[in-house]
Amino acid sequence: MNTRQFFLRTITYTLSVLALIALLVIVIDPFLHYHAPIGKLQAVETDERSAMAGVAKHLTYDTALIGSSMSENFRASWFEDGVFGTSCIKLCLQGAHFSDYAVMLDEVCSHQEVKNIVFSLDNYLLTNNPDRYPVTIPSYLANNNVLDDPYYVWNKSVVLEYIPKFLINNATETADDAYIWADDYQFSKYIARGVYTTQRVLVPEEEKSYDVYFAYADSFLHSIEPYLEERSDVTFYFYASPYSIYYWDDCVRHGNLTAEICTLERVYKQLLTHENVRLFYFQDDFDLITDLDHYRDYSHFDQSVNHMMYECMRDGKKEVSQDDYYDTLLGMNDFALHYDYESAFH
Amino acid sequence: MVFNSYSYIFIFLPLVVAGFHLLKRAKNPLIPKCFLLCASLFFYGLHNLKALAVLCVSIVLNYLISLLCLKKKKPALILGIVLDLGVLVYCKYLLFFEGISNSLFHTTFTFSSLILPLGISFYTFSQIAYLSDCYKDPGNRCSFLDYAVFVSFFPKVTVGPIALSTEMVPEINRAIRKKIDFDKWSKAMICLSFGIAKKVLLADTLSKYVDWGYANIDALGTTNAFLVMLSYTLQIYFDFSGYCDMARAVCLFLGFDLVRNFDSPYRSLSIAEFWKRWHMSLTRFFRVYVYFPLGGNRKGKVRTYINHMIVFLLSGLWHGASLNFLLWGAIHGAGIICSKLLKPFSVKWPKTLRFLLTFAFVNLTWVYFRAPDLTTAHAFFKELFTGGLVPINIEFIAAATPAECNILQWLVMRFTTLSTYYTGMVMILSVLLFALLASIFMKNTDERTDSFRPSPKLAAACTALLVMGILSLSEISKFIYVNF
Repeated sequence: MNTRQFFLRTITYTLSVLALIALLVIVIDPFLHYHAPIGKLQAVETDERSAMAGVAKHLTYDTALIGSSMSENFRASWFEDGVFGTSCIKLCLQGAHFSDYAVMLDEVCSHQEVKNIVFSLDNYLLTNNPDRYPVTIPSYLANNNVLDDPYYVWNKSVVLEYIPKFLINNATETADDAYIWADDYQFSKYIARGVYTTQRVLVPEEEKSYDVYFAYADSFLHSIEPYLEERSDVTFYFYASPYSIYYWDDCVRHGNLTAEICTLERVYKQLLTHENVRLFYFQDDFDLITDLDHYRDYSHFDQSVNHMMYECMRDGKKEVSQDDYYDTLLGMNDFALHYDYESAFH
Repeated sequence: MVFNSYSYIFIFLPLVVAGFHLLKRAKNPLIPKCFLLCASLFFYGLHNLKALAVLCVSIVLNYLISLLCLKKKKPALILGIVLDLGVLVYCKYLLFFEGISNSLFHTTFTFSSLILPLGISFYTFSQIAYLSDCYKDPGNRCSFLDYAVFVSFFPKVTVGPIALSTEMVPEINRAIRKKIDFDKWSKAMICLSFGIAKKVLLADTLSKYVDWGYANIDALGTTNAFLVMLSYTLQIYFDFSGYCDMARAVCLFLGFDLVRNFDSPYRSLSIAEFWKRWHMSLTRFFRVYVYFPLGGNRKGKVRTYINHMIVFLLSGLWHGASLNFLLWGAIHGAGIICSKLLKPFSVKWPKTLRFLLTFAFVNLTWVYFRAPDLTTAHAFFKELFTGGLVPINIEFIAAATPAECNILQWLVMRFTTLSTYYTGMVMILSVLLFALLASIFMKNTDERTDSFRPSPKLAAACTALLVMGILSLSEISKFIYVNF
């Protein structure tokens, strides 16, 4: 072998292997960037931050569940009941902020067949500065620019981790099981109390001004309302998840209660002006939120709660309207203000 | 643009190499040189246009001053050096002086440097060397175009090595006259594949250990602190030498060679030997342009030791504007002096002992280099020496498991009852052990190219390293020496 052969062989080998790897990624496509799963493959669990844009783009669906960890334990199949629709996708990202939701909403709203969007209206979305939370979905998976596709097709994690995971998960579970984490954790008052106790504020803070979060809430409304208007044919189901009583203890101790309730009031009032919005409020299910056996920390609940929320949204229970949303929030405020929190620690 | 990016590997590098060799065919050598200059300025300008302007002005001014230096005008040489160091101090050290002044005199001065041009420490030293060379020997003069190409040359402008015009300019001129040399291209492939692998497979993996460690010093204990310290020792070597390999690959593709910067420094048996093997171009600069003019070793032992200390204090300051680097330089200066004082005795010591002492010294001093401030460095040492033998931290395992091993961890978790703690620990220790052995016992890249014999086995190895390296580019990271 001479030096010329060595050089040419090294270059040829390298380019050939890279071409084969790119082909493998494009065909298997674990993040569904190029196409829906081929053959018998399904959109099973891989990496939610990487896969969600592709799921929204390439699957066929009439209902989309968009949310955070509060929504991950929903089964998409529940919403394929003929009431919501017949095909559903779940687009959930742990700790997601609106910048990520916008990526998914853009894609979902561009699908003409969509009839329902079920959106997890977490309190933290409304009480945090959205500018501090940039998009976490990789841009090379969220756009159609082929120039940044090398980040996907020649990506060590995709080749060595997510293609094997995608294939193994396809052999052992279904797309309906994707991103459900409730099976991996235990839920009990002891666990919830143990976790919350480590973060509980010992010395209560001064009560914040009622309007301290209004700018963030307005920013949220400014971001979401174009979607509501653009797709007036789509029903948007917003729901407020039932955080445990520890969440409200935390709220009171941080001096947040009035500010949060006033922020919710501001947002709900505006959302309910849209005819295609249905709003479900589960936070005032006092029996549930004080039954800590359903929780693993101050906010995360078990899958039975998700199923209850699904049933309520299906049947129109726990829905609030322009007429009663204010009283509902007032009731929540009174309960949280006067609850004997120490009883939750015995 | 950085070397470890898709745009560099797949677009910029092939275009520059192809363009240079095509333009070489034109009879006029100015054309390929102008092309190289444009490519270098484009490469540099992508980082920051203001920094590009600083570089261009610096090149023009230094070249004009060098014309005066050719006439043996010492004030011109002094003016050039003061001007270069002035810009360096203004851009890099104002904040440092501000901190010292404010803490000593309880003042509240606030300076603000407009920009910190990338690689200013490197190209400033290259230009000072050129002025000095022109002053010493007018025969070292080169044309303005040659000078501009030399200073701005993209493979070395940001992270070095600190090449000299006397060695690089003739090389470039020779390369323009020569045809494509497959021997050099083959060696370039070796440098590129080993360089990229050192950076993205080893250094970037080790950086996860280090970053976690310095972010969680209180949780380290002796065991974890030792692993973090060793990881940084290996990270900085593979990071910087990986860059130098990739820079040399570019030069070899263009048809010439670049000054060597590393020679397996962790094999050293003394501190003096370490500095002959580590960042050799910087050591050469300080030896030729600082140590010799100070008198070198010709003015007695005490003065020699003082000269060593001055050189190492300056070397520390050159690396960064903080007391950490100054202390790091001072300790190495003291190490060199001790090394010389003990030489008559230490040469009789077993090689293993000398190696271990040198390696331990270098490891410990890197702590000052890596820690953001002295308080953190001392907190790290406290953990290292008094933290006690604790199990490897579970968060360390989680943070530092190499991406290549994630699937194994997932399979273990999913299909077995084994603890991922132990499998993760085995993986991490394996990476560390491999990196350690590779840095000491394996041939370094320059040795590989020097003893290069084309073989299918080597072609396959280069392919494997290149492919794995390219697959790792999706997580872009900076080269450590870009900060200097």
